[in-house]
Amino acid sequence: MRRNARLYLKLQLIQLRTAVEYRADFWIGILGASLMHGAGLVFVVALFGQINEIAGWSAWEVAILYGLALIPRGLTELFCDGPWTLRMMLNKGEFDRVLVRPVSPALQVVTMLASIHGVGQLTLGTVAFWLGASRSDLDWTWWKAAFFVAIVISSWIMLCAINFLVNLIGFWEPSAQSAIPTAYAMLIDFAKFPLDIYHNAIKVLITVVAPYAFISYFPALVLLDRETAWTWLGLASPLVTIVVVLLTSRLWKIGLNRYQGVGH
Amino acid sequence: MRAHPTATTPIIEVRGLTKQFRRPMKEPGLKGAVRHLFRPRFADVNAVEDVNLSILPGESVAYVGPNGAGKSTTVKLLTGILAPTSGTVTVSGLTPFENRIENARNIGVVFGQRSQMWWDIPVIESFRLLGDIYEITEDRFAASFGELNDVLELEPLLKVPARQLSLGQRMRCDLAASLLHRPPILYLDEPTIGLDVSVKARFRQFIRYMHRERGLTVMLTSHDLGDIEELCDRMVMIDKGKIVYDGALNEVTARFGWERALHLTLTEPDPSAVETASRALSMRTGAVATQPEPTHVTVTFDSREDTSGELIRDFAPLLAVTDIRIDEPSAESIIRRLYEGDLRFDPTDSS
Repeated sequence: MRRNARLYLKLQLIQLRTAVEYRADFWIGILGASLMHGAGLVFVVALFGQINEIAGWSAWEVAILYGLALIPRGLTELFCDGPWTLRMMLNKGEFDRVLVRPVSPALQVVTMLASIHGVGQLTLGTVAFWLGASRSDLDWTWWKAAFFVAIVISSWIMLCAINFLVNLIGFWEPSAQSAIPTAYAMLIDFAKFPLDIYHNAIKVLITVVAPYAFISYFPALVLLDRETAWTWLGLASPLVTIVVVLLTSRLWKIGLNRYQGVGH
Repeated sequence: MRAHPTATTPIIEVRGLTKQFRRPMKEPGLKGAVRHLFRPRFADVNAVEDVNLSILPGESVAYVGPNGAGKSTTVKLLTGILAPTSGTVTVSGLTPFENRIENARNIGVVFGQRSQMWWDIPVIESFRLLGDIYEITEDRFAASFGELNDVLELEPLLKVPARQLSLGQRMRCDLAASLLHRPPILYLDEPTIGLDVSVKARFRQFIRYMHRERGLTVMLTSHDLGDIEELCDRMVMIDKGKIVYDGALNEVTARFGWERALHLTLTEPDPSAVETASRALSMRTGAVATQPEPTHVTVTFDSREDTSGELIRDFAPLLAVTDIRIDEPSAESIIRRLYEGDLRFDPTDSS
């Protein structure tokens, strides 16, 4: 375990350094990500220029949702974006190399890539959360601070697992130019707004199918002391993370076995 | 050339190894693709079938066969990348696909087309990372890396990122990378593809050195006959998933080189010489006479059925012959013909 942690740090540091060394790419990445999410933010600001609240959520409260969605996303892009290289590795046969090294394949895959524009998301998310939290009626208590840290970590782990989960499709369809992984990952954009504004189908989608509501909406209900029938789900977020991780690791093993051709 | 295997227990032991792949059977065109989507049909193909192989420590084995014969599949089964459909593989006492991580410590693998260096960082840092990955202690790293650095002359490359290396330089680095943890076994899968003549020569020299001086067990798949002849004492030939020859490289001719040619030079041009020879040989079914030039008659025959002595006795008195030359096939020509698919191996003659 300690060996794996040390190796992870070394390998990931190499990727981060590489990302920073390509200076043009580094700044373009940061700029691109800032523009993308900045544009979203401009939209929100413009929206709240016209109305005071949506579905009972003020602009600053929506900023909290934004922050809760972007912070773990930024962390994931910086530290766990390797699975996005998995399909290409499988396609080109580079995955063979992973299987002849004395390190777990998952660790090797996770350290294949660091997306430096995660810095942009992380910064933007932190600012959005900090502004939102300081300007809405969020009463900080010690346990809420602890809950916030726990939620960020749990959300981060969940998004890492989802990175694996969506790219596992490569084990079944290695030639896939499939848009499914990207589309699934993009559903996180729904988590930037309160669940209340969506049609039931979308509520089910981002609670059950792609449980992004557990990284922003439900925890925000807890942080803002909103007493709804669903607030308790915020506290259950880490459990959802555990379920996602277990499911992913199970499918990862099945995928690996399929690659190796065990039992067919 | 033979290294001296010090032990008699095989380091690689393969028994009844079969690997079956399911290949989708798609009909051509969009219609076929759509039909496959709704009613997929598959065919089972044996990429490797009932392969038995024992390799002793310190042996160097060439594993040859035409494209699609099952070479790469076998290497993947031996390295633990793939699990067998049936049969067993034991490498240094381990079953590779079940003990992938332990097995990885015992082997080095060079895939000719794919580098294991990190693309963007200086070469030396890739070696350091591999040192961490293989848990090589500081002093073992110094010793092992020092030796490889000397023999492969890596010094000028160490500060260069791998992406700036030429193919030959990258191959030297990859060789060092695969041997850094001092594995007893090295698998080389098409290692010299794209390398120029002088780089190839250095590569072979290095492998020979590691094989002889360090007792490295080498398993090589290559289409390069020079690699095979210079590096390996033993050759295993595979065709359509089955082993068709396993033995000393220089004995392959005795087993498969049964096609001989007799070249006769005539004292003067004789346009009817080929008919004369053919008539004389009419009782011998395997022998065929041709006349490429007016003063030259060639008779090809099957050495399992006839001897050159018998043939010469049959027709030489009927022609005015000044000189006779007999061509025996070389190992190289046999392998080449296997690759071209015009050599039929009948497993019953190979014992």
